[in-house]
Amino acid sequence: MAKPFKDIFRDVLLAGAEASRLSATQLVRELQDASPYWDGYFANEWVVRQGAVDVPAVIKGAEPSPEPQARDITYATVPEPKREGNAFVYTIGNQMEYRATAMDLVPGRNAEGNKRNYVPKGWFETYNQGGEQLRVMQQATNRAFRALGFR
Amino acid sequence: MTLQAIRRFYEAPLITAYGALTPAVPVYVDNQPLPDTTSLSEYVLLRLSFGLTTEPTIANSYDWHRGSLVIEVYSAKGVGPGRGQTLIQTAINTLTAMNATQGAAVNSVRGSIGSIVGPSFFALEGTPHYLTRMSTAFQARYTA
Repeated sequence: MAKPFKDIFRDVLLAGAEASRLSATQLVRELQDASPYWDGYFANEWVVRQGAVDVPAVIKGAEPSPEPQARDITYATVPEPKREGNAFVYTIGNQMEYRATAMDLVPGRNAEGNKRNYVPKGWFETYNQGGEQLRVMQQATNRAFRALGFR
Repeated sequence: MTLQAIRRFYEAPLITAYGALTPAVPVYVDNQPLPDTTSLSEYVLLRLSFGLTTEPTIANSYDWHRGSLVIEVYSAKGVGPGRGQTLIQTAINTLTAMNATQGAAVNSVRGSIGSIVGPSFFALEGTPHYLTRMSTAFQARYTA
């Protein structure tokens, strides 16, 4: 059935909020799954915050680092969407002090040494720029709008 | 040849551009033996990674290669960022020029780059080098 015109603006707003929430949920899960995993700190310290905020790198890893562990990931919780101007904004970040190294933004991660949980070099940028991020956002937007009856 | 042609599409112009500098700056790509880097005054690392490589449709899926290209310039540490910036500018100019010709296939590849992220700068510990780094998304199609 066709929507009354007065409902469309409200529904677009609702769909925008839901698309943002679904995107943030899926993105942080996929980042956690794709993350290098040694003792579990890095993969488990991804967080999702409301709005455009800084995620400080304040958590130190275990010292000395233990042997590589089997993957055991607790997915980050996603807060309710928060409207900023015309958009619903989330910030996804990692809280580990060594996050830039773990994300291969600076050299130093010894990927080859971790045979149990090997993650290829450049995993973060490949995820972000290789189409995966866009795929998640497209799927989330489709789901959110279709749930409200848009075709 | 699809993947190799696409890799070549992005890597070859960069290798040529750095080779044309005076003095020429050596470029190393993925899975290429790297000499003792402390003996090199300057060098460049290219890392090309594929992300999504097909696009499914109702009937079938077609090739559409997307990925990331990371360029790391290693120059002398302790002399400011100028040299690193000059060298990374060579990559930025070379890659930006690709977008101006994306309508024409080169070796059966049509490709373009996305936004350039960086350059960012790092004074590395334990090496004599200063790192200047940029990355960009790419998308390409093999047309043969």
